[in-house]
Amino acid sequence: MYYYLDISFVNQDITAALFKNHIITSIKHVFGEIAAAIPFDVVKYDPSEIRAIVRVTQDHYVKFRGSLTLAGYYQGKPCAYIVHKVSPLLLSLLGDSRTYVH
Amino acid sequence: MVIEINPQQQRKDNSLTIPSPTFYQALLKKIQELHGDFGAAAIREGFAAKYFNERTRIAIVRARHGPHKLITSVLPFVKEVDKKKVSLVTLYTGATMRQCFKFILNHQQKKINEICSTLQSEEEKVAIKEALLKFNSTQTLS
Repeated sequence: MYYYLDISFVNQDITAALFKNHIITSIKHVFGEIAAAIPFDVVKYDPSEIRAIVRVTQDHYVKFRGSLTLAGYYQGKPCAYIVHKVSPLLLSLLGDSRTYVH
Repeated sequence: MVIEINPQQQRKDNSLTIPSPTFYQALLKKIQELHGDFGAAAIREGFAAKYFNERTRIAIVRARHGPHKLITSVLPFVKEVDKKKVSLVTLYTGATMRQCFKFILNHQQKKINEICSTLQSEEEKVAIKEALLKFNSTQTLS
């Protein structure tokens, strides 16, 4: 089973490849080489907003989420990840009651 | 939580001298590499490379129950200690020092029997036995 995360990166414009690379680097830093091998996919990446939908398996979700939180620097500059929404169903990332317009 | 490991030297001579602190640092470095900051922090509490028998090349590592799994998973990947190439073999994992010493005693006894079978005279056997069971070449670090 997979978890889908809607996340955005707060630092500067980066490409999808660098985005994924930075996530791997932060996992490696926090949980080491063994955890750096966990499989995850960048399902969709929007370069204008630096926002992506990332897919990760349920067993690795905790470690993944942990290393996103603890990612502090990108190329020497402070950075952060904002997790907008997480769901095991991709469709529910589309909207919720907060954004619902009557 | 005590783990016992046997570093096997690649060279001809049987004895191997490694100070406990260097062994400790080598393990810590490897854990930092393979399990990251999380792993290093998890094991550091209560972590000790306790003693090293030069003749039988036996070391005891103490870790807390739980993070000991991180250490046991890392041990096969430790290739270098004190700039010497070694390979580590986990002999026994026990929860008390008593259990570990019990195991070591049996282990030593087995080794003595192996060596004795190749020897002829009775005096040699006694000399070997004493040499192996003497635990005077030990160092501790906590």
